[in-house]
Amino acid sequence: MKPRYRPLVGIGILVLGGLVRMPLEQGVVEDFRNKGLLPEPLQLSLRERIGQNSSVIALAGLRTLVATFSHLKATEFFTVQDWPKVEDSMETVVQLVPRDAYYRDMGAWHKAYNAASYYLNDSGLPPLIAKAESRRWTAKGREFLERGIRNSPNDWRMYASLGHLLSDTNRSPDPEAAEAAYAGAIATGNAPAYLERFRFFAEVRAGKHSAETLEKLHKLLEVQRNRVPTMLCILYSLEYQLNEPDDPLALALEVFGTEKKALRNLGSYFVDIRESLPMNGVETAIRILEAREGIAPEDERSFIHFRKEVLKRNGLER
Amino acid sequence: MSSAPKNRPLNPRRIGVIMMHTFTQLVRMKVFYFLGIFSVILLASNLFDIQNIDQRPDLDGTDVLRSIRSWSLGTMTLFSVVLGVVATALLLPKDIEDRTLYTVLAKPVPRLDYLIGKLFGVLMLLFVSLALMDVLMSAVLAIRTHYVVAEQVAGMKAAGWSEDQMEVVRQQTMNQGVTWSLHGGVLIVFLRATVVASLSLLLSTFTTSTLFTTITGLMMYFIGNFEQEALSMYLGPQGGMGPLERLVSMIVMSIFPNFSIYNLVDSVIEGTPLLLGDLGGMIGITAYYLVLHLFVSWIVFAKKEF
Repeated sequence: MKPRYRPLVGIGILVLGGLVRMPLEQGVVEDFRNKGLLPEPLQLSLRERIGQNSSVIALAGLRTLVATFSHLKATEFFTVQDWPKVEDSMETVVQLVPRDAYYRDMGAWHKAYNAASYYLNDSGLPPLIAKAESRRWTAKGREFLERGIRNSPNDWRMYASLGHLLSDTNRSPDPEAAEAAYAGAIATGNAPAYLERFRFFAEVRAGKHSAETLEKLHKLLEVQRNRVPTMLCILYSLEYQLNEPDDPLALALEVFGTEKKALRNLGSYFVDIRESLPMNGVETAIRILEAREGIAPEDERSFIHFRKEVLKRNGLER
Repeated sequence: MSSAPKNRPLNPRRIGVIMMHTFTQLVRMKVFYFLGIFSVILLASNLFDIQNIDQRPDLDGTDVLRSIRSWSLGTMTLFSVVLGVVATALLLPKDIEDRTLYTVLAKPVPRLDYLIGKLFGVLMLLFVSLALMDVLMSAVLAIRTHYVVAEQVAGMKAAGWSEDQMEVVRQQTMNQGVTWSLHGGVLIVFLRATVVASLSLLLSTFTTSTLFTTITGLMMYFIGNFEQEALSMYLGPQGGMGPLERLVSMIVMSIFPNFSIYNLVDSVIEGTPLLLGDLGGMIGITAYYLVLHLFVSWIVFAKKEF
């Protein structure tokens, strides 16, 4: 072969090698995409948003680096409480790394907690408008997480974050939707076991206090790590509601083991007014247990007295 | 009766000598000074713990671990791509300029061995540099992860989190620290640089200009990163291209390596575990590019006159 033809032959081999490679490589790309290892191509709107330089950096295989900088920008706007810009920066971040649960969680936290609290307490707006704005930002946080779930339906963390948000009594709680979110996390098959407890809490907050709920609770309590104080208190309350005992003290002893533990756990449960968990028979048990300890309901050491104080402080006394 | 020594190509010893010579030659160009810059970048990324999240102890400090990972792997990518292009673009023109090429090729050294030795010398330099950077990154990340976990556990204990919740958070944070997948990510950075270097070698066999090879090599790298997008846009169902246009596009794209496939590194930074099978796939693809580029380089270089 003449030397002057060699470059042409070389290019021919390169093209042929490329044509053989491309279908094989596409198979690998599809496989990586299905596993969530490769992101989708950058959208035109995102390129406009991040600017030409950042687009080039992102296209040069440094997408997460651009996301880190955009997140830093969001943090900067957060410190000056410029919420629309925080929102914009977080949108950019999640478009760059759409499957990352951490950034979804951070974005939702900024919107539903920080921005919502700001508008409610510090914005200086008239009370009704402030409340409406606060709710709007909470809804934005919820929507942000729901979008994340649609992007990564197999990531338990986004479902869990949504469940936590919808269970928060300060942020337009929606116990039924929270229960569904936790159920979604569990359905992914890789969620931690404690989410079973959270799903159960959401269920009882949603007012499901049936015999079936009690049966589920008994099943959960068969696992030692689920025997946390709140679960035991719910057990006491549901047992009381569904099979009202002649002797509440005997029921408390059966659930908690000792009078001291029963009073400590039921007392803390009773004074936590934010949790919206069932309270049937709790006050009765506390009154009996405190009487046996020689504590009067008006006594400062009494949980009955303490709850009244908490309600008064929060403007909720009847 | 003695027979004449056979001068077959692909002699490992011969390739090893050329490779070591190229490696030494490049080390003398003070390439490792870059490690100092890398250390500064690493320390700077360590300072970005600016978000104090009291209410969410599970998120507290995670950001700085992400910064360290993304800044480090980002710097490694930039360093390896630029070095892969520039160092390889320098090889042939410098040997011609120093007249070393004539001395080497006057000896019974097959041109294929010369090309492989030169390329492997660059790859060795890239591998050693990336390995050192990996060690530095792992050390900083391990120390920082330890402190972040300690802070998170203290915060969660104060907030009354249960033991099993704390364990899950601890595990998630540890996944943002030093993992096998992270080292796998560094290996992917090396594999990307391998393709960049072999492509530059191929370009330098067509031309003797270092500047031309460097600019074209970097441009091909950027075009290669667009390739996946171009494929989806032009060849997808809504591409709106006729059969002839599709064929021409396919031919043009077949020349450029698909670098976007190496963006697997992004998933590693996000904390997605990298499976051995996936890594094997990447090594396979890289080996294909390497062999193809070396073969075409040899076709062009074998009878080239200087």
